[in-house]
Amino acid sequence: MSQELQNYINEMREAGYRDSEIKKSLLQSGWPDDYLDALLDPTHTDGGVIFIKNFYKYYGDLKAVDGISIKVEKGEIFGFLGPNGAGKTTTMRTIMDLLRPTSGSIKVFGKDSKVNSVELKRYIGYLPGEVNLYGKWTGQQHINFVKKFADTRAVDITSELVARLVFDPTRKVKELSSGNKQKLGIILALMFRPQILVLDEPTNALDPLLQNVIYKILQEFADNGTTVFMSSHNLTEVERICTKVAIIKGGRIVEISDIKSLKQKRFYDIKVSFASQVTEEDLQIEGIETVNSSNDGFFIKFKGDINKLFEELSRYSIEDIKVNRASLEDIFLEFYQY
Amino acid sequence: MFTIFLKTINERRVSLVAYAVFAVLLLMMFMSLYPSIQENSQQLNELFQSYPQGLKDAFGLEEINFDTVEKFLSIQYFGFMWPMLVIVIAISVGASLAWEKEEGTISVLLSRPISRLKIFFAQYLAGVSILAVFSLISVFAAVSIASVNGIDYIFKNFLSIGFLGFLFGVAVLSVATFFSSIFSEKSRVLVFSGGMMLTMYTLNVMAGLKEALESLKYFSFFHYYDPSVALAKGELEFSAIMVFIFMALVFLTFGAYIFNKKDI
Repeated sequence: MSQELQNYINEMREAGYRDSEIKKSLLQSGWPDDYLDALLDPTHTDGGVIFIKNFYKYYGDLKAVDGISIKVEKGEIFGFLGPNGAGKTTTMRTIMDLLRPTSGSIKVFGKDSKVNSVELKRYIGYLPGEVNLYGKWTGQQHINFVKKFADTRAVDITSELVARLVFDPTRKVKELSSGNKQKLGIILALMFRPQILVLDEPTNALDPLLQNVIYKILQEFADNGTTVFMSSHNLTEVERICTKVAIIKGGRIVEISDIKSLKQKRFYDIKVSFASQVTEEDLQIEGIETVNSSNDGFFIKFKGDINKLFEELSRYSIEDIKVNRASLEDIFLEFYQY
Repeated sequence: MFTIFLKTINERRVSLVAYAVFAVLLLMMFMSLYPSIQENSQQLNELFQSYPQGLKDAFGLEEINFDTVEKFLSIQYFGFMWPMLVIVIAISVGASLAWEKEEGTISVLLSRPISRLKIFFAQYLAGVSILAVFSLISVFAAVSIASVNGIDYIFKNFLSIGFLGFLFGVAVLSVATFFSSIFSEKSRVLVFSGGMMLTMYTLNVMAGLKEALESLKYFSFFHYYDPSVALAKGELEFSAIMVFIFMALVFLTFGAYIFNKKDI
């Protein structure tokens, strides 16, 4: 999306339009002012919406985040995965300026998240990992309170969200279940169609039906240009809605990839038995990660071009073979474990 | 900023009314006792004069005299109960930020397009307003009750104690707000702020006990909050006003700086 926009800007420039004219036309199409400023500034970003660069966050000796760099592009649904305590929430809270980096920088629309936090929060909808609200207030009171901070030009979709999430705003928060509190947290984050969504485990405590509603809403937001940066432990959900993922472990990024490329990294679990005598040494084939032998044959973990493996195995007389392709979830788990 | 100011006022509305009602009821009780005490003021004065000098020095009873309602209330009401209520109100409102951090609701505020300093000052100004309302209610309740009961009073003296008590409250509020910006647990704010007030009270008492310790009184808010001067004599000491304003500004400035810098 951002590259397309950049290309469009370049074409307009080549056609002789001035930047102010290009900006005016794009503003009418709903692009945010600051984002356009960033795109039109030749010294600036290449269209990324969130830039996390060499970000470190230490609490004394504890390295919560140990030098990560991430770029999230406009319109992406970017999944941020990792085990508990890996640094996901710390990163998200720093984007929201609740925490301050030990070093490094986080830029949103090309602006520093700490220096320009007030301005940037106009464009960001944030859902914390733990939705803490005022117990004595009703959902409607929360909604009314948040509305007072909104830009007068903001599009209010509260009623639509309340209806789609089947939420009763008349009840006091202290009477709500954790799922309903989560719904309210989501409504507060999404109610003005922000340009960016920072969501810490958005479907936490929601039933599968509501999870599907959230996936649909997020997809619609992304289709309309909203950038979604979300953490999740639900690997199926990540596979389903995210376009790109970063996996963080021990405060470091261990993988950043789009879902498509990640799927290509899937390994195969193969069980094979031979009619002839074959040893583990015979199976030292490129791509094979582990080989375990048993009375039933060999259990092989293979990553790479399966055709090449079959070529090698066909040198022997195969009695039986069973091939299972690992799911994306298995890949995530592999990153979690190592 | 005004939204957060109003939110804080609304949250404290019920407790403010409760404290104000309690303060007025106490005043009514003391005022109803005053006519009979005034009649016996001569005997009471003689009784007080017979107290050991050390006791009189420690608790400032040297000039005890109940011949006017101002002198009576400066000891019986504005000398202890009222400043205690002011301290309770100031610390509980000052602990608001720590409470928001402890409950996690601070995220609701900090994820909106408003600066930390505005959140800080909105809550602080709400506390100042609550103290102002409480002081005004106390002053006007006192003169109203005196009028109804036909007791002579000097309005200016009540205004003086109301103003001094308000400044005292603002200084305490600043201390509590400072601790609130440091800590994320309300209980710790209560312990540290309350502990500081208790220490100051003790220093003031110790200063009266021994001449060598006299200078300790300068480290106590209770030395500067003196109803026997403000209410009984209707005088406002410049040094007291300056100390309260200065201490309020110091704690407020450090509190704002810490809240603005700290991870939340």
